[in-house]
Amino acid sequence: MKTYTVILMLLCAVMIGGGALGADPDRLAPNTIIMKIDGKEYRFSGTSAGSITDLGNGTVRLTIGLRDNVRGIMMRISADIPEDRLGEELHLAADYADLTMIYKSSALRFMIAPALQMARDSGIEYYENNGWTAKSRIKKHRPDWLAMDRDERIASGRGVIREKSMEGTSLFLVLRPVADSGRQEFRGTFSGVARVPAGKKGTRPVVINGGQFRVEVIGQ
Amino acid sequence: MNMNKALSSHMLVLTMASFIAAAILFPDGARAFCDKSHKNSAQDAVVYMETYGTNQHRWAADFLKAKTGGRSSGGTGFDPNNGDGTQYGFINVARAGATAPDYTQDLWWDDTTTWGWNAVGINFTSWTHFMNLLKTNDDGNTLKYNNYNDFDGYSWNGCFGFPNSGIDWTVASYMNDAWMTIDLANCTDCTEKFSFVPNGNPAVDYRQNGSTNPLGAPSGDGKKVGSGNGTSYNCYSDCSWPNDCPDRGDTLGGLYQIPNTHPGDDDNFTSNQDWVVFEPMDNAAEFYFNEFFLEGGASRNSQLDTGSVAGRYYSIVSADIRYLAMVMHYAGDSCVQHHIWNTSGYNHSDYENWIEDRYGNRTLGGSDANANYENYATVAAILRSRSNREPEAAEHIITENAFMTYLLRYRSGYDVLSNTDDATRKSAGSHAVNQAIATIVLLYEKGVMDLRRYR
Repeated sequence: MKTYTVILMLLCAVMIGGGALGADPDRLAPNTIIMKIDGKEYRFSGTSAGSITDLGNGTVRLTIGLRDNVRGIMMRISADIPEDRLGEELHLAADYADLTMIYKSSALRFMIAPALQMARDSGIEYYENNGWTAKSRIKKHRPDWLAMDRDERIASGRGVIREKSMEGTSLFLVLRPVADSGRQEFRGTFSGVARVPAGKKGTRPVVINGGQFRVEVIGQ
Repeated sequence: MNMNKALSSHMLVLTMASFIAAAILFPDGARAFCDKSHKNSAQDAVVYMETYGTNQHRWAADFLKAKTGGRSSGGTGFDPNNGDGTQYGFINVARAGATAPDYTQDLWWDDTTTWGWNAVGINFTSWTHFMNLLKTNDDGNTLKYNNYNDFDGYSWNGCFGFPNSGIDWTVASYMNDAWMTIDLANCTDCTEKFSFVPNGNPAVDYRQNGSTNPLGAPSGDGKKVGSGNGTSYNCYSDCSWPNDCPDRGDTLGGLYQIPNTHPGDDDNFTSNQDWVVFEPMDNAAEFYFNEFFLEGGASRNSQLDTGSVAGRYYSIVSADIRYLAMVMHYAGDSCVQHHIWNTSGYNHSDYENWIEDRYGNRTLGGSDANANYENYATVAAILRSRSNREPEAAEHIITENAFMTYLLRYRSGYDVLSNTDDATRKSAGSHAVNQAIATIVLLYEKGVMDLRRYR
């Protein structure tokens, strides 16, 4: 069942990611992002950039940012990855990676974040009093979920972080770092599904497809 | 200054309709604990005072019933000035007040593309419903919790998940370099503004308990935003490109944790240099308790003036009791681990909705083990354990409560930040409910005794 789910997700990614806009970010002019959101095609030139942020915990955040003040549109895609993967071509999905997207315009705004994340080991120790009757004994122990694998955690609800408002959303990102004339660029594609309000307590899907970017990494 | 903000005024008309739609979406996500759980815990507190409490509790409950038109007089509102002059009774005032702070429309934020009091399912006012007791983040790195208060309120740079991915990060990324209205009363562009007090203005109103949160002077024509260099509300977060908030802070343990120490010195290539620090929930609670419940809005000078309270023991009316009832919302939120561990994520909304589905739907006086989490023996035990009794300041009562909530996560089987299983949620949820009932009892007792004390 899990295998089918993954295959289906990847299939959706290919179908959504391909789209009418094609998928060749190498042909884009520098600092260009194109995409189709909710059926509408967009092209942004010169209003975007990439950035790399060291989070200081062995993780780096890669960001593709867009801010078009004329059209009043802002978009940001971020991916947190282990620092030893910096430089690799990345194929990420929000179901398994710390991948987020925000989009704001006058007509449409949404956030996509992982609906499920694994809790981090922050070193917490729980205390337990095991000696109520005779002599009080406080014992400390580490979380049981540290010994569980991903599937066990999900099944038991131990060591997991869920965000139900993000269920039904998805995000896929392919990011390729490219060195071009001494400057670093991010090139790649993205696609996904967000959910936005549609009537009382309802939502509707917003499809993001054909997303391509070629952005210069700033602050190098 | 950020020139990009100039665009936003043109977007106002276009965005407003979407904001209204956003308010409809995810309504529970923005109302902590949630709605019915707040109401039920307030009602259970009244029942406890009437039937299980001390003589003083019973007397305080009787006083409040006398001032609100009886125990329960029909209707569901709590404002007797809403047209028909109906006194709704203490139970209804308590229930309505316990959830009222979630319905204000008083924190207005402005950035390049959005302007309003809510977005993507979040009523921004909820950011004043936190108290930060964290010393470290999820990575174990040092967080500073006391920049402007003994315990600050919510901030992106001070939250448990900072700086990692999750809902806190996604919202910080969404808000980024937005700035907030700091003079709501004179904000002519805040067309849907709503407060429960006349000329409400949280940036100033909630600056209680010696808060040093820097405001600066309002600017931005009709929006009256706090955009001055070195001020708190000039930047929600400065977390990714373009990082163009005005100020730079200082680091602590490698993370930016001390805000606004270098006004106007932000650079566009470094993240997290500038960020807002909201007022904590005990400041908001103290505002409603001191300035409006006790003083009736007479001084509004960020401190208790007992002279303004004189005589109100006799003259106070139902419309003023609602401000005491509103304090109970913060009492309830201070029993939710996420509001003290300072995070919008880590199962925050799922946990609150889990309680809402059970305790929120409990039958009063019922015995359903999966819904009737109220246990008056436990409430009595929690009350006996308190160091801060009714003569102490409301903020101290709420802060002690927050400490109990903070520590609860360390108790085996109670960590709802990392676990979603029913057993953990039931343990923590039951404890939170009874802790909330106890704290509400204590604050209602305090309210009446303060009126008497300063009469």
